[in-house]
Order: sequence, then structure tokens, then C-alpha cells
Amino acid sequence: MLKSLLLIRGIHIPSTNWSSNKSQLLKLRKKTGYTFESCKKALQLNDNSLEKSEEWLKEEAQRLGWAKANKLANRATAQGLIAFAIDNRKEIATMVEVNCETDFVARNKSFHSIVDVVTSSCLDFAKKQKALENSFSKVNLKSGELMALSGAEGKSLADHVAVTIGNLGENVTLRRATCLNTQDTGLKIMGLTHPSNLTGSHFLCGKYGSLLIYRKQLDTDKINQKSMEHSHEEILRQMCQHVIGMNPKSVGVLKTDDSVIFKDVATNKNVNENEDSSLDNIDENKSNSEIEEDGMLEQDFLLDPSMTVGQVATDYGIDVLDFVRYECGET
Amino acid sequence: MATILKTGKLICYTLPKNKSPAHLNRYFQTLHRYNVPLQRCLNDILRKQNAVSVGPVLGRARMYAAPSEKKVFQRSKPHCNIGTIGHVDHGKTTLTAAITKVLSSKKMAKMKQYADIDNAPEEKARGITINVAHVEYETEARHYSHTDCPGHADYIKNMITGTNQMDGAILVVAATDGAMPQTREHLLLAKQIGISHVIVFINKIDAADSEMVELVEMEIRELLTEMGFDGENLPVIKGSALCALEGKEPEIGEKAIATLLDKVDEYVPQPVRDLDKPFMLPVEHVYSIPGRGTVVTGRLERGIIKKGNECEFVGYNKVIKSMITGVEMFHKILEEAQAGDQLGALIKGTKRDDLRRGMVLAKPGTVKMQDFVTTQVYVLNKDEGGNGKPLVPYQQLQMYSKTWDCACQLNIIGKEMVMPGEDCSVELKMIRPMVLEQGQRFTLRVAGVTVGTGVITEVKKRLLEEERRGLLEGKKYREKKKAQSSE
Repeated sequence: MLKSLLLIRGIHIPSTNWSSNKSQLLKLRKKTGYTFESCKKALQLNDNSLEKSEEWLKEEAQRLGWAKANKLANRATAQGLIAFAIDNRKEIATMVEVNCETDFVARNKSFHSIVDVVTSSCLDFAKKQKALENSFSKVNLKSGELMALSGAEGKSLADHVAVTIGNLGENVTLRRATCLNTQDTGLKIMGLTHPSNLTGSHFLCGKYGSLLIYRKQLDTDKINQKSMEHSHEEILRQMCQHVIGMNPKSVGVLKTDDSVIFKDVATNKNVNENEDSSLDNIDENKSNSEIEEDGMLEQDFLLDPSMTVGQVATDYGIDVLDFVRYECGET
Repeated sequence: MATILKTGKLICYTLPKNKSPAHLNRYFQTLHRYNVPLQRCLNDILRKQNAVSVGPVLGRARMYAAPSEKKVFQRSKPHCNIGTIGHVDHGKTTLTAAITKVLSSKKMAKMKQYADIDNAPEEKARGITINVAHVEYETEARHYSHTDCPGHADYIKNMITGTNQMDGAILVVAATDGAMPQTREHLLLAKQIGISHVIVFINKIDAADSEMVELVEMEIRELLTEMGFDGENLPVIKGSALCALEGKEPEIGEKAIATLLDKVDEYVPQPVRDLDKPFMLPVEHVYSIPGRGTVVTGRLERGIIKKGNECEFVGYNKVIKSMITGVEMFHKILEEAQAGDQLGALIKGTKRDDLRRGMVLAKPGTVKMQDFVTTQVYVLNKDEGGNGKPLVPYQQLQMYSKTWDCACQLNIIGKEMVMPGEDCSVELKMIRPMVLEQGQRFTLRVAGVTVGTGVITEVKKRLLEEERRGLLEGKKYREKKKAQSSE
């Protein structure tokens, strides 16, 4: 509405230099999103030509971005996003953390797009890593190493970040990244972020993220592969969710089937023989479960506390080898 | 007849009975001669308060002289909550400091330095850490509490735990930069926490030329309209907070700030005071006093209770009609009790066993029982006393609000779980209908540990009996139900 008003005004008022200047300025600002100050300067330097000004602005943005970035470099960045990317075959994955100053910016599209650029160049980096024999490779990147990676348009990630800083007026830092490669090892990777509805343009991103490296056991006869496909996905998703929610410190030890059976037999015996001792047994179990478990497989499953993660994994024929968990702003 | 009295420092006046325009006009002129601010008179007329009780005031003016003048003012001015939002570098804090400076010259605020406000101290409200700066000041017309938070999450936490809703917001935009990409997010936040009145302050006009300022205004109005605000009509004030703070160029400094405050007075509507609402008292205890009857105690949350008022007890799926036959406070009989008073009310013809803690004593027909609500919940992290675990859908929780508590089931909207330290929109289904209304605050507990706190944002339709029974069933039941419905 206002825009149209402005246009009409621009046409009707005898085109004094001033008014044409003004509508040009507004047009340029609309198109490029750079500050009024720079837009005005651009028009002045380029004789009010829109195309030339735009080019000039783009070049200028890099320089201004760096100037701004240097100015803001000391400001703390505690907010931000975690994003991950997995290739189509679920063999190569990366997870990155990009920080900014306020969570307002973390919700903004411009910020999402820089996260996308960083994630995709990290995925390219992960593809170059070779998986180790019979195992996966895991490379952790720190801020400095990330900045040096090359991103889209042949610029380094540091350049991309500088432009974003110039645009948003807030300090932005690349905190860390993890690159995983499991090519030719038969291992697969699953990932999840939370909240999962906060999507960037290409990759999932959120305040928390987790990647899970697993092996599917194909020899289980009872599982009908086709019909299980969907629920397998679902249970892997839920396991990633568990990693985010319960914050395990290690994968933990899977209690083997033998010991479980042995225990069952033992309790059965107890029930038959003597009720008191079975009560004791329950108490013992209780006191064990009260201790906070750090190992993922020993923890109670987030979505069904009556089972441990280990039990769920065995039921679905999933071998958990490792996981990565990122929490935004954690130290 | 209107009575106007003037002693050394204090003016007492009553409202004229005849409120014809001509009469009122004369009345105002008289008051104005005595230096009573016009805005305040108008406010008083509109809300029929502050008028010292009608009657033979003549010669007894001293009776109404309060111990100190300041206190009289505080009570007579209506309270209003506002806040500033905007990009970090656009001068929110400078503006807040400038407001206090301009008002402190009129002795209506305490001057705050930039640094005092900027290092928003971590505040603990209901055990939750919020980064927030609260500044207090007053204008001719109102008393303000001014909130400034650094982040989205902090504003949400403030909304959830704060006792008062923010009534309006000042959006600060620097003329040099114009609207930032994240200004959209700032306005989304305002929408989310229920602010419909936004005033724009275009800052730093000393560093930009008039042409640019005009364009910024145009742009910001357009953006506001796009985001669903009344972008074309809302007030936009241009000035420089820095100039006001440093006492330079009063035209764009001090004067701009004064205009801004006038506009805030004018544009942000007057919140309804608790005293003017129908009365409500959550029952804390019920006693049976031999020879007198049943007495309920509690804190009157809003309204005024008088002896002889008709009343209603609501809660636990029951509604009991009754009458208040006496009001007592500190063992003394009261004529009337006002919101905020801790009191005992004598109830006519109701047995002690019929009433219990958790019910609400209210004006008949003003409160309703509900059992299905949408809420905004903040989950405590471990440092704040939570259990460090996320909330998951279908979890059973105990909900505490006013004096009642009730088991309820959780349904998370838009997320798969809520992590500690996060906020989220959550649906709660209760196993028993209780007195609930929009804006009511509550606490969620699991196994004796407080895990979250929230505010009700929407009351939904009552549950059917069948749905209620389903609440207590486990996961298997839900899966069966789902399978049935999909067939």
C-alpha cells in the first residue's frame, strides 16, 4: 500500500532531482537490503544508476563486513544454531555450530543461509576424509579451521561470515564442527536436531543436535525387512531424540542376552522358592536404577521408561557404535 | 457541586455531580488554575477515582493529607507495563536511560546510568533466571514499569513468570540503519507475547539526514502493516536518545523523549485494574466456627467484597451458591475488603464439608471450570531446580495453580519434546475440571520436583467423559485407539 503510494508520488510530482533520488534509494534498499547509509552513498558515487550501485554495494559489503566483524569481534556469542547434513546414502555426515549474539538473529533467514553455507562446505570436507578400515573416521574442526574452509562462490567461510556480520550487525562465529565418514564400512548415520521444526533452507537446524552411527543387523529372521523399514527409521529418530534429551556421556555397554536370561531364570527361581528374596531382588534393582546412568545403552529409554535403550536397540536389531551430541552455547 | 480545596501543598477535589460538558469545562479550568495537571484530571473523571470522598470536605482537608506527597501520587496513578524491543546497537538502553533522565528533571524518575541498565542483572523470578532490566518511572498520567531484555527467550520467560502482561512496546530503530533483517523477529515476538500496541522510536536522527529518516519511517510502517500491526496509524517519533542523555540539541533530544512519553500515555490503552473486576478469592482454608457458621480464608485476588454480597463457590466439578454475611481481617470486622487483602469471609448456610481448599469464591457467573487449555510453558533447567529431563508428550504431571492442584496430561505443540531451559506451547488435559481462565499462571511438578511454570494462553472446549478416561491409560491404550481410528 505504502509502496504503491510512494510510486504514484514519484510519478506525479514533477521529477525534481530530490524525489527521483528518493525512490531510487528506496528501490535499491528494497532490492539489496543494505543500510540506507550505504545505499545512499552508492547512488551518489554511481550517478543514480541502480545496476552500478548494486555492484558497488556488493563489493563494498565485503569490505564493510570485515570492518564490522573486526569491530564486533569481542562481543560474546552465546546463541545460535546447530545444523547437520547427511548425504543420500547415509554414510557421510557433518554437524556444525554457528553462534550469534541474540536469539532473534538465530531465528532470522539471513542467519539460516550462512548456516547452510557452512554446513554444505563441511559436508564437502567430510566427503574428502577416508573412512578407516572396518571403522569410521571422525574429524573435529575448531573455529580457526572452519574459517579457512572454502564455501560457495570461491570465497572462504570467513568471508561469508563477514558479509553476514555486516548485514545483521551482530557478531557471528563458527564454533565447531564434526565430520563423519563411514564409506564402505556398512555403517550408517542418522541425525536429528531439536526443535526439529526450525528448518533452514536446506538442512535441519535447531538448538540441539545429535548424530548416531549404527549398524543394522540384517540376519534377524523375524524382521520382515520391508514392513520394518518405516518403524526402523522411527526408532532411530527416537534414539537420536534420546541422545538429545538424556545427554548420555558414552555409548555404554550392552548387557548381553545371556545375562538377561540368566537373571530371568534367577528371579523365576526366587519367585518359586521364596517371596522375600524376590522382594530383595527388586529393591536391589531399584537402587541400581536410581543411580544416574551415563552410558546410553544403560539409560531408560526417553519415550518408554520401562525399557533401557539397550533393550530397544536389540529388539530392532540396531548396533549403536557412537554418537555426537551438540548443545548450542555449551562450554 | 464540585468541591476544590487547596492547602499548602495538596489539592483535594471531588467530581461535580452535573457532568455536562460546559460544567466540566469550567471545573477543569478551575483545577488548572491550581496547577493540577490536566491529563490527570481527565483520567480521574474517566475512571471516577482519586476524587476524595464527596461530602462536607470543607475545613477537613488535612485529614486527607498523606504523610508524604509522593505516596499520594503513586496511588493515584494507574500502572502500566511497557518495554523496549529492537536491534542491539540501535540504542534501546540509551533510550531507557534518556527517559529516566528527562523525567528525573521533573522528579518523576530516578536517573539511571547507561551501565546500570545495560548490565541487565540476572533476576530470579519464581526461581527462574531471567536477564532483564526493570526501570520504574512516572509521567503526568501514569506510573510505568519498563522492561528491557536482551533475548527472545528472556521476554518469553518474563511473560510466563511476570505478574503483569506487557501492555505496549517501544520499537527502537536507528535512522542510520533502518529496519534490520531481525526486526521481523522482534515484531513476531511482540505478537507472541500479546502486545498489540507498538510505538516506534526512530533513533539517531542526529546522524542521518531528514530524507533518510522519512524513508526509514515509511519502511518501518510498511513492515509493521505486513506483520499485522496498525502500521499506518501508530505513532512514530523521531529523535536522538544520545542527545537527550547528553543534554544537547533539545529539539531532537529532550523534546523528542517528552513527545514519546506523551504518545505512550495516549496510545497504550489503560489496563483494567484488579479493583474494578468482579471479585474472586481462591479458598485457602475452611473453618467451622461454632455459633457463627463456616468461614473461608484466602487472599482476595481482585475486586471488592462487601458484607451481603451474593457469591458462588466453584471447583471440583461443583458450584455452590451462597452469601457473604461478614468479612474479617486480623480479627476485626471490615466493611469491605479490597484486592490484595488477606481475609476471612463468613458464609451463610453452607456446610464446612461442602467446601474445600482449591475452590474459588467469586461473584456468581464470573468464573468457570475448565479442563482443557493451551499454555505457554517454560521448563526449568537443572540450575533452577528442575529435574534436568525433557518433557515428552503424554507425560503425566501435577499442575498447581491458585490454591488447587490437579493431575494432567501433556501434549506438546510443534515439537517432539521440550528440553530444560526451553519454552514451548503445550496443551494440558486435566482429569478434573477446575477454575481456570486465560492469563492464569501455574506450576508443573513431577514426583515432588518443580519442572516447569507456565501461563494459560487459551481455554479450549471441555473434554468429553470418554476422553477424560483415556487420560489415565498408558501407551498401549493410545496405540490401540489410534489403530482403531485408522481402520
